[in-house]
Amino acid sequence: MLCLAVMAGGCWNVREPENLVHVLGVAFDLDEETGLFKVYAQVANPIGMAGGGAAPGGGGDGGAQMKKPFWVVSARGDTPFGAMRNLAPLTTRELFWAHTTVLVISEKLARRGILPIIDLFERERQLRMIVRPVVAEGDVGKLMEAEFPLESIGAQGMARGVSVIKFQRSIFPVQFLTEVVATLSEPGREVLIGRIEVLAEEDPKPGAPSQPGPPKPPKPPAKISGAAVFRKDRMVGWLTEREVRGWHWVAGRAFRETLILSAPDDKGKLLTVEVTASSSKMEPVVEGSNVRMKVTVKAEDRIQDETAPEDLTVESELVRSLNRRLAQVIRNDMEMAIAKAQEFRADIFGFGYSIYRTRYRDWTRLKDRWDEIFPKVPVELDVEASIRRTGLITKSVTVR
Amino acid sequence: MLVRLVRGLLKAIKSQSTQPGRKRPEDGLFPNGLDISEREVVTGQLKLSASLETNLKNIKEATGDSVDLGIRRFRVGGSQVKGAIVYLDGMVDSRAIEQLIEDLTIELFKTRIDLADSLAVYEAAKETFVPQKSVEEVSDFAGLWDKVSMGGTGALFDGTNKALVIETRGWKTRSVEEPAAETTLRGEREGFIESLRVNTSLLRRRIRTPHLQIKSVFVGSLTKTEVAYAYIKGLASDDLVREVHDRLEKIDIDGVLESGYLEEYIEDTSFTLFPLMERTERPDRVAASLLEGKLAVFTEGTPFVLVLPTQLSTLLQAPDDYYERLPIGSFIRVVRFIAFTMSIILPGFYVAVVNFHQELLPTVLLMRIAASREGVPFPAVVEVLIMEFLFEVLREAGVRLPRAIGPAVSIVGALILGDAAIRAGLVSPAVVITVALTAIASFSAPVFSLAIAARLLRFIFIVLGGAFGLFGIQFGLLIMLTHLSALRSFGRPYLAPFAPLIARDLKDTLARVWWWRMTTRPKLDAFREPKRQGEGHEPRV
Amino acid sequence: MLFILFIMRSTIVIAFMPVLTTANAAQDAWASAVVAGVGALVLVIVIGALGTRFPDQTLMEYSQKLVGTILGKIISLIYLWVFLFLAAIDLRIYGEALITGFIPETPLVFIVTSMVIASAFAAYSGIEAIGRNADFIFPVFVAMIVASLLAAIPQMQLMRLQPVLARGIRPVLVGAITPVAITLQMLTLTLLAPSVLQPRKATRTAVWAIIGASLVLVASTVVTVAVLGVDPSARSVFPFFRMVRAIRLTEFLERIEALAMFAWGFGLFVGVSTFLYCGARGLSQVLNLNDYRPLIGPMAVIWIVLSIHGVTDMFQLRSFFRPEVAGPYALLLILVPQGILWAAYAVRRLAARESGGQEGRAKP
Repeated sequence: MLCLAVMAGGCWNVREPENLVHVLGVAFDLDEETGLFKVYAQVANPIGMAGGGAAPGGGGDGGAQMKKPFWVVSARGDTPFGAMRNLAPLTTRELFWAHTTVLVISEKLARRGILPIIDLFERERQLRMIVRPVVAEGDVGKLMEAEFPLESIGAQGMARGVSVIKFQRSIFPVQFLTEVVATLSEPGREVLIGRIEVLAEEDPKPGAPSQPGPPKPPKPPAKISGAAVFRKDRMVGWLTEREVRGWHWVAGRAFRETLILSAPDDKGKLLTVEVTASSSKMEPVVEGSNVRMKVTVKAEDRIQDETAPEDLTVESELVRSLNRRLAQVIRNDMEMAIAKAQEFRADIFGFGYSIYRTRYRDWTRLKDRWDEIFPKVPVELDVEASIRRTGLITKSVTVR
Repeated sequence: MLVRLVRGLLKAIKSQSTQPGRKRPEDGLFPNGLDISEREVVTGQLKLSASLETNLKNIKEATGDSVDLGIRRFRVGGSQVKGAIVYLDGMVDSRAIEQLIEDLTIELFKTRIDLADSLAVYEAAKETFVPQKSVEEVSDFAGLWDKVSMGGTGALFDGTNKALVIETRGWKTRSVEEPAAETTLRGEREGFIESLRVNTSLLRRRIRTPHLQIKSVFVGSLTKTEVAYAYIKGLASDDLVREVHDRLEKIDIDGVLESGYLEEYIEDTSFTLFPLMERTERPDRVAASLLEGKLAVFTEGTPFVLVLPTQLSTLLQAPDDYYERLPIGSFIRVVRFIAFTMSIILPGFYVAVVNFHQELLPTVLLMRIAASREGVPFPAVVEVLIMEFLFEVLREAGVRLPRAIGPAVSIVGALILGDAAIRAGLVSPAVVITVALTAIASFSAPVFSLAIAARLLRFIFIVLGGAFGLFGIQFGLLIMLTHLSALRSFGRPYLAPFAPLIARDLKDTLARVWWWRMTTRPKLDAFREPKRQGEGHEPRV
Repeated sequence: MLFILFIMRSTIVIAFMPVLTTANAAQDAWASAVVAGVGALVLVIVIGALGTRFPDQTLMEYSQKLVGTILGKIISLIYLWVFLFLAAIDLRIYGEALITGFIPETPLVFIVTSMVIASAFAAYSGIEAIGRNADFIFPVFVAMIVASLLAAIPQMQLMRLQPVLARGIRPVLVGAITPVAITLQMLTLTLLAPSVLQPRKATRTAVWAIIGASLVLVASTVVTVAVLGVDPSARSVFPFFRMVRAIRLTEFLERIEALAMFAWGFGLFVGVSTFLYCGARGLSQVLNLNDYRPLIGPMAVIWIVLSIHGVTDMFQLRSFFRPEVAGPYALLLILVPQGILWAAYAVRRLAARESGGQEGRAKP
């Protein structure tokens, strides 16, 4: 009786978990022939995830020997949501989107405008604003199908990759979709979304028989580096690794980065310095319609490898010169990034936003012309790099 | 009309046949067909007569000459005064009986009285025994039996229409042992037993002030069970004492075999799952409660003492909290609060989350749950209900079974059945984990009656969670909270000191403060004397 | 009572954050919150101060004494309408939030009905039960809000609050109108005050409740804007919940908005049960009944109907909360009856002084 009451009473939203499959990564592409949105959903294979022999029936008779622990399904539609719903006829279980962790946008779609996608993510209750957005360079379908070594599910791998990269390099803007939306809506600021580059597979030679032999060791299917520059909601171009690094300096977001200098006594030896912390300050100087930006960057570093015979054990002119060189490297990065941004006419650093925030009156005057002003804004860079420590040793082993 | 006539006729016949006043002489005291209430009336009216033989005959008749009734006749000092003692075998100390007979015959003989005068003998007997034993004088059968049935021995003398009742109580009781249902790691090992006197003595030994007062009431028309209530005069509210007394007096019941009977009679409302008084078999718990101005009700024949009024937070406190050092004492109490909450809502929450709010779970966990449910034939609600029901059966079986095979059943039940059910794909491991966790959590409630409340509530929450998700759980919580807010235990709000919020008393709820900081007693129970101990006595180096 | 009023106010102002969504105060919404707090304080003092002159009576009783039976009853009915109306709107917003964000397939009537049943049960158990509920819920409620705010700190970017007050004070003031209008709910004070232990301190309590709730509002506005950015939060239907949705501390602590919804449900429950109690109690006094309990059932049904059919869709709901609608409406409902009562009170004081020739009652 009780069970009946429960069954009849309120099953408006009951979803038995086994009737759902979880979309872990979603990709949107633009189908050029038809102009439709194309969605790829990477779905976790519910049986494959059970792991550790917890699958019913134990080992042995796993029945459906699906090769991958995930499955990618795609569909087209006039709108992003329409495309998502067009997946339903193709799947036997209900797609559940709340666990989506990565949003891949194809370059084509990004150049066309990402607003429909953003709107979908803001509006739909299952999709979250805390996904990691990336723009894919290359074939999106291939990316979604790719198996990442060490990861059972590609989308989880991508999501992990794009968030942990900040602990080692500053070549990829790590952010949630929330930030993208906020940035889009803020005046004098343009969006930068990280790039994921699909690496080409070595095609097996046509005609060559697929030899049984041992399987080849897997290759990384994609590379996480660089970023797509947007003006309004449309992508206008790519930034290289180094330019993204420059962007990190300006934004004060560089967390860990590796810089390579030539050794001071210039014997062709190189030394590596790792940035451990950085901060930046942006100060607009507005005189009439002349706008200048002052950017002050401070970076702290430590020496990582240095085999040149210099003695860096005590304070010396040598250390100070290293600091100066380091600052120059950083300055070069920043100049490259700023030049590229000005070329794209996309204020990814938020120069305009800093005027808006601190000099609101000037901004009301400038805002309509900011698109023209920004490419010509001179930027004064003041970089102070300081090497704080040398790691566990003071100098290399003296080879005798 | 005919019907009425017949009915009236029947009534007349019935009343004729059963009316005690119309008995025939050969029927003796109790004509055939007397019902119990009528017998009670007869025995209530039965006076002792001056003739020993009549008295003994009456006693035999009233008791049906039960096999355990012992009657020993004697003559005082070989004189003409006949006497007899009446007792119940097994309820008295046999040595005391021998001593008594010796006293009544030889010792009485030594006194220089006229041994032919039965009244003088009676008085002498009374005088002789007063200094030695507790002696009472009774003049009717009811009074005599009242004492005899409690282990007294009645001494009757020919020619006297009174009897002496001498205290010779000496039945076997269980010795004081560690309470089985309420154990502590640190703390006393003594627990109450079935004998009320022993129990009050256990309490007396802990609180020696003369102001610890114990009063008794007899409850039950047939069992005539002694019910005693204890309180500290001047600390407990007089109104409360009077109220408890009145409520106990008002009870009209034929028998009280356990304090649970009383509980249902004297609680404020019966329409609740929550215990409105604390039931304990630990003397330290009772003593601590009395020191806070509460009241304890002892019942003859059960080790369970009722402590009242009580609050929800008190029910979640265990003696260890106070005996262990402060940090660990407070910590285990917090753990217990969490466990109690878990034991109510965890299965319901599981069902709600799994069926409605999958987004709340971490991705990997959710997918594992989904994978483990692959092939399980029931919806999650049914699955949980089945497992919970199964667990209740196991638990009940475990209680009922003889001790020796109890563990065997739990092994079969928990390990084999659970494991086999998972292997067979009947239930998913996640559900087994949830149910087991809930069960373990429910064992942490220090007062068993509270754990029972949680058991029932759990089923309600499973159904609510399964039907309406977290929204249903919230609905259940709101109703439960309102119910708790409206509950009172002997007029005191059940949720105090949380609601109404009594900031001063929060010192001893989720966590406790140091003993030297507990300078005040709970406001509601001990409003007469809030100061418990002096301030500023913290240890100093 | 402090807790009742606090929870009641925090719930509604956080629910859809009128300071953000009703006007373009944008990054200065926190200033709106401050202004709204001050405005609400003034109104509460106006409402409460008259009550302290009649510490043992509810508004239904003293209004009849001040302005005569008929007018007094009319004023009382207006206030009862306010309770009815506010509770219905509260319920509706809650229902909409649940349907939008959590259980889209569940009928609205079901959500509203179950909430009303729970509240009616509380109202039936009396004001003590409601008060104790509030006592119990308060820490949970505050803990949930504070936890949400703290969890959001890593994602905050305070620069989103700049420029400060750049657009002048006007949007700030406009943004404050609706929250001030919602101060209507504080009219329950006039019915609750006689039930508390020290009726004379009721106004002081209400003032603390407003201050507390305003602090919560300011804090949550700041956090919401700093996490989401100005425009996304202003465009949200339920900014606070959107902010909670954006929380991600670790893999495990994300997507916790259902728990925040839980807190909201608790808060709503306290509010609605208070409204229901006050409504029934007030009506029983207007009708000269001894017991308010029999009125709860029928009133509960009316509320369910009103909250479902009174508003057809989200558009209507949102347009009601436009400052230019809600503001005058609320002011009319608060100020006109209160003005009449105050005037009557003043007239009577003066008359008493002239006739008695001596000092009237000591000023509280």
